Amino acid sequence: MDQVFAEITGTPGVLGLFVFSPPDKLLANTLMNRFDGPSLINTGKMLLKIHSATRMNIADMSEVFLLYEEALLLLKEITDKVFLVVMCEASANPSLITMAIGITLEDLKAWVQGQQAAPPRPEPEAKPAPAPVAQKPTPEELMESGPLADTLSEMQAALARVMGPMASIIFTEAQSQWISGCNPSEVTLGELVRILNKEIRDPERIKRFRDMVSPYLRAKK
Amino acid sequence: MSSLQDFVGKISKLPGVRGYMLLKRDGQILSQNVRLPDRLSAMVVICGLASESVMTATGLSRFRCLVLARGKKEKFLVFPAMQFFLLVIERPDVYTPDLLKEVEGVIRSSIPS
Repeated sequence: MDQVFAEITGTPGVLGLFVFSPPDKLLANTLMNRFDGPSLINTGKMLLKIHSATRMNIADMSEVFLLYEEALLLLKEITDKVFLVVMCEASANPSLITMAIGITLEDLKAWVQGQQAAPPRPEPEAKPAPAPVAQKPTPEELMESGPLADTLSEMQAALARVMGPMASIIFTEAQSQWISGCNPSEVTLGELVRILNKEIRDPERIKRFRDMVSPYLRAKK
Repeated sequence: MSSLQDFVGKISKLPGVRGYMLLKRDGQILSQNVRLPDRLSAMVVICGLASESVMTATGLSRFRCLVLARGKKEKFLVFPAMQFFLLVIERPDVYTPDLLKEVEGVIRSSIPS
């Protein structure tokens, strides 16, 4: 991978980067072990949407940061409509990474111009992506399809009986924690119940909730 | 609704907050004290929804915050807050990670038990 990115990828906390040129080109990618090309292109399109929406209202916007539970994404426009996206650990120092990008910005611009002038070359990472740790199902996907869909719907309904209308939001949040902490399956449903019990807090409601969902836990053994 | 007033009251009183906007995911503003609220509300909804879509594309979990940086000027922070989005305009002299934790703390404490 080009030396121009070494300053950035060598910064503490940086997991990798890609360069996105709309509508669907990846000019560079050091994240091929984690994500396949289509995932990154879809990510690039969403980030472009964010950039366009903010630029209409904030003319002097310099960077965009998206903070998730396990990662930080930094979006920076290098040249007109070519974007650098840096993925970092959630605890990384954004100012440090911004500075690393700033130091290399002129080199990045020159590199992009070189890429745009050169004839296209085939992407080396044509192989299908392995199942990376980051590509877990979303709460919505688990609720809509798959072997756990019915069970999770019943559990959400049970939560609504003890927590009221906030249940759907709390259930989605708990699912996210469950998914990020372990492999979501019948075997680990107990972990989801444990996370939900912490949200319910009230001992009587916890007992009512446990009584309602225990058949789903017992039946799986 | 008193809980809404409590929530925005806590947010607006946090040190480092210059302005805020609380809105539904369809863009309906519930409370705000910013300039050009209509334009900002559209921006917040588009950015918030796109940030959540990035989760689907990447497999990342739990969108926490979107930060729109403007060099040394005030930053715009967009948080998911239950079924709403919250925009916080941060003063330029504030350490963003600290304010982020405080806002998240207020959001978490506002989820009814």
